[in-house]
Amino acid sequence: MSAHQHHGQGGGASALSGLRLALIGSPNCGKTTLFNALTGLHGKTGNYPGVTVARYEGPARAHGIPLIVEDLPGTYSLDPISLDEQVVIDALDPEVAASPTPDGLLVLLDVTTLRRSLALLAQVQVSEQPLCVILTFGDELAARGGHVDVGKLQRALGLRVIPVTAGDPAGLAALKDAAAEIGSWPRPPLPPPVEGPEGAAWIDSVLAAADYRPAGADRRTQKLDAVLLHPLLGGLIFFAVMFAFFQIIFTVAAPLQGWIEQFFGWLGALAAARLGHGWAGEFVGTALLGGIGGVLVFLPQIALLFLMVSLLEGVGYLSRAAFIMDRFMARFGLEGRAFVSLLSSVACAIPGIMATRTLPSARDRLATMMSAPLMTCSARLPVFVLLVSMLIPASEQVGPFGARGVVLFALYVVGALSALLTAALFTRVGRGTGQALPFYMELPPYRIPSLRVVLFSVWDACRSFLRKVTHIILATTLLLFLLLNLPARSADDMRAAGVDPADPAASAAYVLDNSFAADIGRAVGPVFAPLGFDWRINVGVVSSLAAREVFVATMGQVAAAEDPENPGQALRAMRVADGPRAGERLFTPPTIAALLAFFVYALQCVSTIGVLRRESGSWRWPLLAFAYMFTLAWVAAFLARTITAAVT
Amino acid sequence: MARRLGKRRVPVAARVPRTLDSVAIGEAGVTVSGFRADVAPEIGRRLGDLGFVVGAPVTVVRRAPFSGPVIVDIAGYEIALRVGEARRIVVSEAR
Repeated sequence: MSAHQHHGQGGGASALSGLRLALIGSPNCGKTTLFNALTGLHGKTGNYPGVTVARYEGPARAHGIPLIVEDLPGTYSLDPISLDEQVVIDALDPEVAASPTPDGLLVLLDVTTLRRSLALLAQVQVSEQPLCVILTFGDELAARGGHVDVGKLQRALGLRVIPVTAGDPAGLAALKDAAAEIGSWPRPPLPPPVEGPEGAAWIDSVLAAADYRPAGADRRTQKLDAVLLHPLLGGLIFFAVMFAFFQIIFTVAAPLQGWIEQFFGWLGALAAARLGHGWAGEFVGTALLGGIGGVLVFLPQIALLFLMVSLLEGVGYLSRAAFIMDRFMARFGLEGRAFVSLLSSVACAIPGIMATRTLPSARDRLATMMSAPLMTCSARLPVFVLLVSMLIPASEQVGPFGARGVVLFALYVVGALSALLTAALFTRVGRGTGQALPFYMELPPYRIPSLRVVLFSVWDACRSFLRKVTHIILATTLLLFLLLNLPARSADDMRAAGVDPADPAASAAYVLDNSFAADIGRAVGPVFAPLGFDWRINVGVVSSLAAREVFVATMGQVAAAEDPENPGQALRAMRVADGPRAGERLFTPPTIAALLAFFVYALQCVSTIGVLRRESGSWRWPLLAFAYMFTLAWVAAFLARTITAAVT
Repeated sequence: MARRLGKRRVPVAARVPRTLDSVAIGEAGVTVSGFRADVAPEIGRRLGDLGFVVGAPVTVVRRAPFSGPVIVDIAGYEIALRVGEARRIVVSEAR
């Protein structure tokens, strides 16, 4: 590592100013808790340039001096074996201009794992930057019968050592005192040896000098693990936890989402009533308010998911769950921790993709992100319900079960299997970019999570979703609205076409039939014709990009033109409008099967595309995801159509 | 299996270095004695950073069913390794 001594403030895109302090430490060393204690809820999340590693920094003050605190990703070593770890090296390297070099380093050492932590400290000291040691979990060390003499440790290291435990204001005050005088931080004349027997001897001598007695076994953790990691019981508890997790996302979030939708529906109706049922009223009521509502509707799920994930992580259960699931996930090239992300995607891919932040390896994060949208999300459900009920009569049975339910279940299974298989593919592709990383995962003692850390994680997830994704979703919703409603039609146009302008259903259908979206539907006709879709289905497919369930509404709108009293019946009776199959029934079983298969695979969701862009840090991945899922969708739809046609 | 080999006092198996994956749960007196020769140097360094250094006492705490990961106690904390990783770590029994 370079030892240049210019404190580079240059190059950083950071809007904050002040002395820059970076927190360095291994995972689970209490970095995030300290970061939140220092910065409150003012932390900002960003991305390190070019990698999918979240970057946290926030403002703090020490005796009136403004500070910027940066929470570097947790690392066991400064000898990088992954892209994620390279981020830490780059952040410390004054020659890397993309990230501003810190003015001082706060190296966190978990005293319950002091032996291992000292190895990291020795590596950090090679950089010769001013540094100060923070000892965390001193309370836990004492409770488990361990001991360390801070004064002696300080002398042995030749560095300033400040013990800080969670919820202890004295430690934090001492840290702020120290932060105010970076210039006077002591430094040993020579950095300690890093490797080999000399390194081990240095660690031994420091531990001996500091009267270190390691912590005894954590009885509470041992007892809990005996149950929670029991080969049989542990598995059952794991499934119970995941079931509850999933139920909460669905059952608690659903009414909240319903209220948000109702509120914006009411607001939209109000706007339409004020502005009249003309174009302006429609625009404000449907497009603008509907679009904003369509963004906010994701918040309950995101907030709940992050609440639960950060609680489970803070308690220490997430790593246990990953331990239990690892064998299964390994078959698909993923590791245990990816399971939570994929499971959440059954509610909605957006929180699922955001939950990939808990995965330590960039390759796993990308593979999970690229496969999560294939899990059957709740927006696919109304589409599936509509199509399955058109395909199969309610009375049909498969053994003792209703055939509709069996098909619906099969669709979920197909989605999950496809997600796992694509994940396997993407990890395999990703393997070419670097050597396989060893799998290791610390199992921290069970701890009571810090409320502040949990709240910050929820708050940060919601805020970054609103900030970074709103414009993408809103812009697409508006564009789709314009496509579906333009060119504007006057009452005279409608009368000329034999449509009663006073009839809202008929006039809406007339506008839709003659909209730009209809032009697009006809233009993409050749692509979808082999699947049996006509231009009206194509309009539905195009409009479902805003959100999959919009397909149901659009098809209802199209069908309403033919029979306003009973759009469901009309949909079933719809006939192919033009082309060689004109006059035939449109929704034949092969076409419905093709549509079902299409919706299982297609990435028909701009919100997901927006989140993929946000979390992966580039447009490359969302575009690739859209392309490969569209291809899969088309092929699957074609196969489904061919097979159904052969069977029926 | 490794236990069975250990009971026979003939050190036939000693020629093949014993690795961490063959250590039984709770088996005492096992220390790290190095890495297999085919372990890439950076992986070996990382395992060292995690506490797997020559002479470090190591205990297997738990195994996941179906040859899932193993949890080992090293340097005073618990870490889960996959069997593949455990197989890279050569161990020896203290006499």
